[in-house]
This record gives sequence, C-alpha cells and structure tokens, in this order.
Amino acid sequence: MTLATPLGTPKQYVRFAAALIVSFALTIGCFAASTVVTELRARGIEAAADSIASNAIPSIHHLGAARSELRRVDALLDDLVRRVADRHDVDGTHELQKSREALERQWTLYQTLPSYADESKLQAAVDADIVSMNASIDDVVRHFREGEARAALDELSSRTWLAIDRVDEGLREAEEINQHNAAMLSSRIASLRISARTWAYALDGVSAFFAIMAAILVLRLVSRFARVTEIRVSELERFAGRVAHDIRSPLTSVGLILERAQQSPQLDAKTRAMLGRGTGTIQRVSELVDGLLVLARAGTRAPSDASTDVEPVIRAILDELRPIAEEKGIELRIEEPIPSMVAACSPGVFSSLIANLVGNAIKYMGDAPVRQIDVTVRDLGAALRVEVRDTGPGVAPALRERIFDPYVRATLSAVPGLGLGLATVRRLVETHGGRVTVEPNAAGGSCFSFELPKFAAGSQ
Amino acid sequence: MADILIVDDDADTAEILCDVLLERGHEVRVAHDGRDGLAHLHLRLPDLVVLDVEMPVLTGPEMAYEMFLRDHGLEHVPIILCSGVWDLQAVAAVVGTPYFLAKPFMLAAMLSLIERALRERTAPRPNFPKADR
Repeated sequence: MTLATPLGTPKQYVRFAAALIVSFALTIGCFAASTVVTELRARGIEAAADSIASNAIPSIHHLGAARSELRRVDALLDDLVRRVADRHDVDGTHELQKSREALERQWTLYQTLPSYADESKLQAAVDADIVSMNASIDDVVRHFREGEARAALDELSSRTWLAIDRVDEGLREAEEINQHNAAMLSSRIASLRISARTWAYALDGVSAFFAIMAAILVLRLVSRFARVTEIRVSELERFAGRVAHDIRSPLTSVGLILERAQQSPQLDAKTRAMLGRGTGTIQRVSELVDGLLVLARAGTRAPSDASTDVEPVIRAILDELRPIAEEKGIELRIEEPIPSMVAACSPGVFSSLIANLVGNAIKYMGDAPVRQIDVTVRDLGAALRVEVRDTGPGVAPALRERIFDPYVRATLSAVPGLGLGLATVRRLVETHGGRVTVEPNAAGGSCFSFELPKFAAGSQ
Repeated sequence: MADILIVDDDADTAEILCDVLLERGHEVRVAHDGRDGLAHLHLRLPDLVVLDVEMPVLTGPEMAYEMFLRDHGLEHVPIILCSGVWDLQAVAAVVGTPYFLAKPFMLAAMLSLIERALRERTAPRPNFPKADR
C-alpha cells in the first residue's frame, strides 16, 4: 500500500533522502580528495625544497670550495717551479700539501651528501683523477727534492697539469649537475604549487556545488515535512473535532433519557439518586471530552501574526471571575498600573491562560484562612510575565514538577476537575514560545506564572 | 403554545425532546436531515426550529441558508443551533443566530433557551463565507 499524500509518496521521500545522502557523500568526498591532493603536492614541494636545501646547495658550496683549492694547488705548483728554477728552493711544498688536503676535505664532504642521477659515476671518475693527480704531484715534489728538476718538469708537463685539468673538469661537471638539479627542483616546486592550487580550486568548486545541492535538498525536505506536518495537524484537529462530536451526540441522548427517567413519579429516592449520579457522570464525560479537545488544540500551532493588548483582556477576565471569587469570600486583586504591552498570541489564548490560572486559584482556595488572589503583570523587555499568587493550600513540593502534566491534580480530591487546565496552559504557552512556572508564594499558597514573547510588528 | 420543528439526525435526542415539548403543550414535528427539515418548513411555517449542525444530506447551516435564500417567510423563523461540534459559537455566528446550545445539554437549559427564543423571536442573519455558497 502506498501512503500517498498531496505532497508526495514515501517512494519520493526515499528518492529525496537518497539524493541528499549522495550529495553529502560527494561533498565530503570532494573535500577529502582536495585535502589528499593538496597534501600530496605539499609533500612533493617539501621533498624538492629539502633536496635543494640539504643537497644541491651544500654540494655546490663544497664543489666550489674544492675547485678553489684546486686552483690554489695549480698556482702553488707554478710558484714551486719558479722558486726551484730561481733559487733551487723546495721548502714551500707544505702550502701545497695543505691545499691538497683542503681540496680532499671539501671533496669528501661533498661525497657524504646524497647523489643525483649520474653523479655517482662522475664521483668515481673524479676520485680516480684526484688520486692520479696527487700521485703525480708527489712525484714532482720528490723529483724536485732529489734535485731532478728535469724529471720534475717532465712529470708536470706530461701528467700533473693534465690530471689537474681532469679534476677541475670533473668538479665543474659535478657543480653543473647540482645546479641543474636545483633548477629542476625549483621548477618542480612551482609546477606542484600550480597543480595543487588547480586541483584544490576544482575539487572545492565541485564540493561547493554538491554542498549547495545538499542544502537545497535539505530545505526542500524540511519545507515538505513542515507542510506534511501542517496537514497532519489539520487532519488531527478535524479528527479530534469529529470524535468529540460523535461522543457528545450519544451522550446527549443518554443524558436526556436519564433526566426523563428521573422525572418519573414512580421512582423511589434511591433510584432517583442513582439516576442523578448518572446524569453527573454524563456531564463529567462531556467536560473531559472538552478538556481533551482544548488540550489537543493547544499544542498545535500558533498564528504568527496574532497579538493581544493584555490590559483589557486581563481586566475583562478578572471582572468576569470576581463575582465567583467573592461568592467564596476571596479577594481578587490586580497590581496597578498594568504595564501597557501587546502579547504575541491571540486574545482567545491569552484569555484562556488568565482564566485557567485565576480560575484554578479560586477553585483550589479550599478553607484557607487568608483568602486572596493577586495578579501581577511584569514587563521583561522582549517578553511579559503574568503572575497569579494565591493564599490557598499550595502545591506539594513533590507535585510541583508534574503539576503541569495532564491529569495531575492537587490532592484536594473533593474539588471537581479533570487535571487538564494547567496542562492546557503549559501547551498554549510553550506553543507560543513561552514558559510556565510554579513556586511557593511568600505569603503562603502558590505563585503560578507564565512568560510570553511580546508582539513585535514586522518580526513575526 | 408554539409550533416547533426539531431537525436532528440523532433520533433518540429528537424523540426525547419532542416528548418533553409535547408534554408542555407545544406542537412538535421531527425531521432527521436538512432536506427533510426543509420539506416540513414548506408544509407549514413553524414558530421555531431546533437545528442540529452536522447531518447527512443537508447540514444545519446549509438548511439555514436555504431558509434565508428563498424569501418565502422562512427567513423570519428563529433557529436554535444545537450540536456537539467543537466551535458551535462560530457556527452560530455564521448562521447569524443568537440561540445555540452545545451538546450534551440539560433539559432545563434547552427548555429555557426555547422559551427565550420564542419570546424574542430574533430571526437569523446568515453571514456565510463566499466559498461556502
């Protein structure tokens, strides 16, 4: 069976809900993908920057320093040749030795750093060239020291200068490889940044699209549910009215039959009394139906544009109830002046609230020695508060929490009532965005109060 | 004594009320829906109509409107609306009658209202919303 409403079938709701879930899932998915892409790109940028900072730049630095020492070695060898030729002096070789050591130190430092592609092969070649160069220089120095200038010069021209050139060439190539890699890594960083930004924009855009879709679906769903709820409330109201009518009609017949039977002259007093009790029961059932209907309707909806000037309504209700109060010896007072305020509810609702609270105070006064009811209206700014203080027997602390629940009554069982009046008050007040409270009255008895928002033209 | 027409789909209520009014010397007729009630009205004009609201075929307010519409003198007959509907006062305002009594009622209350209506004889002044016409 399909429970179709004027607004759609359950199948349509399921489709709606499915579309909503898919939209949410895609929104979250796109957001997650955007985050993952950004994270991956950030890691790539981090790795490239790290490689530049901790490999390419220090490598270039060490290679530059090594080349500098190599040029110094070259110059010192030249100087040695000149000094030997002029003065036969070979004492300056320790400077040469220091430069060679410095070169080797820089070279070793460079080699401790990670290698780029093809760098290892080059490093092996340069290593061999350095060894060859050092061996040749050692031979030159040895020849000079042994006074074999001719052999030293031959060694220089045949091997040493060539070895130095090869080392220099190797160092330069290594420098170029590192410079090239640094440039490549910089370019990769730029490319990763552009890629990350593009993906993030694209995925965020898709995510925003699905988020808007989801928001639209939620709005449509909420609005649809609100309309369905409104229809249900109307249906419920009609149903409640129908039930009340259908209960009242047979009650009328039964009540009239009982009344007619009571009028029969043949009846004994006992039977007549029983029939009287039956008539009373009919009245109570009728009151119960009325009370339940009022309670059911109190919890439905509040018209958004309703407003009530509180002062005349309060005065009218108190004027109406004053004779009943006086009949019971109760003084009904209102604190003057009543602030001029407009409540955000209909006059009927406001009347019902005042009549219920004041009526209750009169009804449950019992045989209290002091018999007063004071009504106070307070201006709370955006809201108003009405307090009804009585000097009756009060509400037991254990009952205060539940006194506004349906069918809960104070323990004065002798007083007739259904226990729906205060429940109706609470439902009416809460439906209008207010709240109800009960607390002990300082002068004995209770203080029942309610707060309601004030009517604000244009904001409803 | 008066000529009273009771129009109510609840046969028990109508019968008991009829008996009570007959005992008090009134002339009483009973109908169980609006169309039946209109037929009785056309046979003879009563002094008062005691009218239920919700009935099959023709409701109380519809019958009241028909009475007002024809301009055959029926529009001057006072109407007591008597029903268990929730907003009887609002229905009475639409029908334009000052006489209404919510069900379930006590016999004394109904008899008192009948006496008042017969004494005042205020004719209804219907105020039907256009959508209902």
